[in-house]
Amino acid sequence: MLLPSDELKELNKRIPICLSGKELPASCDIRYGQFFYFFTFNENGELTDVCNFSSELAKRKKEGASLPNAFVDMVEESLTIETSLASSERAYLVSEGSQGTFEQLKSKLAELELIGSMRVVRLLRQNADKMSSPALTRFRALSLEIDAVSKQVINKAAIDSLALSIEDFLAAHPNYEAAEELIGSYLKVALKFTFDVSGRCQKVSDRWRKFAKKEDQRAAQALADKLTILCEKQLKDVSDRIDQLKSDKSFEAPRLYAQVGNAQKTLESLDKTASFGVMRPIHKSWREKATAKVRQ
Amino acid sequence: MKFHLVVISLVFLAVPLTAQDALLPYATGTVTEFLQANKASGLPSIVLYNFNLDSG
Repeated sequence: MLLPSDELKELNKRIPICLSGKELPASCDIRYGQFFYFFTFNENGELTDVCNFSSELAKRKKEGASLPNAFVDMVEESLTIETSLASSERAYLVSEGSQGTFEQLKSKLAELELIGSMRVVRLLRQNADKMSSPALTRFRALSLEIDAVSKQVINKAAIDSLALSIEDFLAAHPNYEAAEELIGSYLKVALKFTFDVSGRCQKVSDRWRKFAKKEDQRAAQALADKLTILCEKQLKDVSDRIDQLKSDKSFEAPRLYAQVGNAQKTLESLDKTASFGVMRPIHKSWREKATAKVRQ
Repeated sequence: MKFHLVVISLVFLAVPLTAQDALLPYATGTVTEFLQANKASGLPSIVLYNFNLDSG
């Protein structure tokens, strides 16, 4: 593919092309680091398009294009996209966080296969206080972060950071209308790889109760109670899945045992399963916490 | 004599490298520098993530 064809040489006379290696452009985040991605930037250096390079080329080849022509067509079509992620971000800030511009921003991220989500999350948080509803913009940042962590970004730091983001948001806004929905995402997404989910939820609900503002105390109490109930329900589901495991060598076994905080079984199942790639730091953390619990 | 041999070897090594650079229609250097240079020239940019000349 990278061997220079005449078509590619001609294209390169008009459009500069760069091979990035592992360097991600435009402060983007990427979950599937093993795939090849195609990024387009307009003449202002703003990101306008991202796609899975292999899938897009394969699609065009199936339609009968030669490989060089498939690539040239991809570039030509991509260059017709006028909106950039930066222009969608600017529109949101200028409108002080209108619903319409937020929908446009989400559509743009969907077009970019959610690559760039975390950059938008940071931007929304940095500018939340300047928006007409700071709480709504913080909630939107959180919803984009949840979407990114569940679909696009996978690394321990991002998952841990999401848990803290949700805990802090709910501590500050225990009355928020989407609070229960956020607790659901907290348990399903943010604590998916947490050792001893029940222990973590206990600490968090204690903190919510203890540090709530006077006017929020009733809401914080109700929220803490809700977290406890939903946590128990979640762990019941995890226990059911443990009962259905065919073997402790199953790929899911360490995570399920870790979630219920069964230190001995976590260590045993970790010894029986392979650790690779993005799971290594997560497995390391489980091993440390399980070992500490066994020694207690 | 030895000096001449070194010079000839270097020239032979350099020619294929230069020829390869001239043939390859890709920018080299960091992505950030690449984007900045194109922005300054008012040109769009295509970046192929995960590609390098060894793996591609």
